[in-house]
Amino acid sequence: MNLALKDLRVLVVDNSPHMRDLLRSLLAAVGVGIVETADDGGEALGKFKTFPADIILSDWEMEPMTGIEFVQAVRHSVRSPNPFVPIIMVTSHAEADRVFEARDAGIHEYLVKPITAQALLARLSEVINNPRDFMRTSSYFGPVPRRRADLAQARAADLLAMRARAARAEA
Amino acid sequence: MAGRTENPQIVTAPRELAQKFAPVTFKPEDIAAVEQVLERFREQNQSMIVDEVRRLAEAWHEASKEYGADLVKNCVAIAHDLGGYGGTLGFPMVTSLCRSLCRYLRLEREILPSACSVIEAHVSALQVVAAKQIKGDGGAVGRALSAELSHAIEKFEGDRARAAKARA
Repeated sequence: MNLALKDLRVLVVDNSPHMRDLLRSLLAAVGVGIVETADDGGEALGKFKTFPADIILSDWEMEPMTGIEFVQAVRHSVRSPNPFVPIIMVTSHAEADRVFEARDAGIHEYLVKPITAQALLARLSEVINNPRDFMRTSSYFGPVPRRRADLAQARAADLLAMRARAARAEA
Repeated sequence: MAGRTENPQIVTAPRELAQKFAPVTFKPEDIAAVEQVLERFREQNQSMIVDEVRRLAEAWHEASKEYGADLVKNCVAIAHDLGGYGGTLGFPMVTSLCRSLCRYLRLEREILPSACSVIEAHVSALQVVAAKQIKGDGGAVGRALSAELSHAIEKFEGDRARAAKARA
């Protein structure tokens, strides 16, 4: 059990009580100490106002408010307590167009059910260890897409290398 | 993603999560602990596949009488969730069957009656998987089920393509 995560607060949103319990148990198994649950996007929005989640795991297919609508509300609503919160979508939808739709809504990570230990832990460590800046356009607010983030990193590395070369040349 | 061609504004996101918890590394014992929870979930929920497949079959039986939007939507919801549980419970065939089934259940209402046989082929295959508790790829039984289903799908898709051609 990872004691470092005992203060991590995770909000699990899934219409299935079995899946909520499973995710709660999986998180507890790696030491996540504080887990709150909700059974649709609407309830999750309500809970998020009083429960300052560090990470949200959200299903897609829920009623009345779907996971995509929930992500959009978190990212865009003026009443959102934290539009930057990392959101991992945990869903049975495996089609590429669904992944793009979720990305366009502003998720950080996408996890296709069935859940495996490696996949879940990889997504958690990714959002904790590699925070991403956000990007705003007329139609999007969410984490900078990974390729763009990689590009920015590459540009920063280029800039540093250029400065180092210039410093060496001056010396 | 519309809007990404315009000049985006980059907003520095807060780093509290990383500051509080990074670097987090999951050790092999963490993975083992998660695997144990998954194994326990499988043991405790063995009957879930049978129960949910029965629920799906009953829901489809009702929906196929009139193809009412809410009844069909209920079938999609059950099949979608079942697909999520299937693999987690050790029944990957349930996941793949449900994914395929959802594609047909989501067809437009006018086409849905013509897809009845292919939908029922999926439900029947799920009933066999649940009754025989077929895990993994199902071996010979799994291959026979897949072949039977492929035949039903090919027939439906062929009929559909011919109908579309005739309309054009």
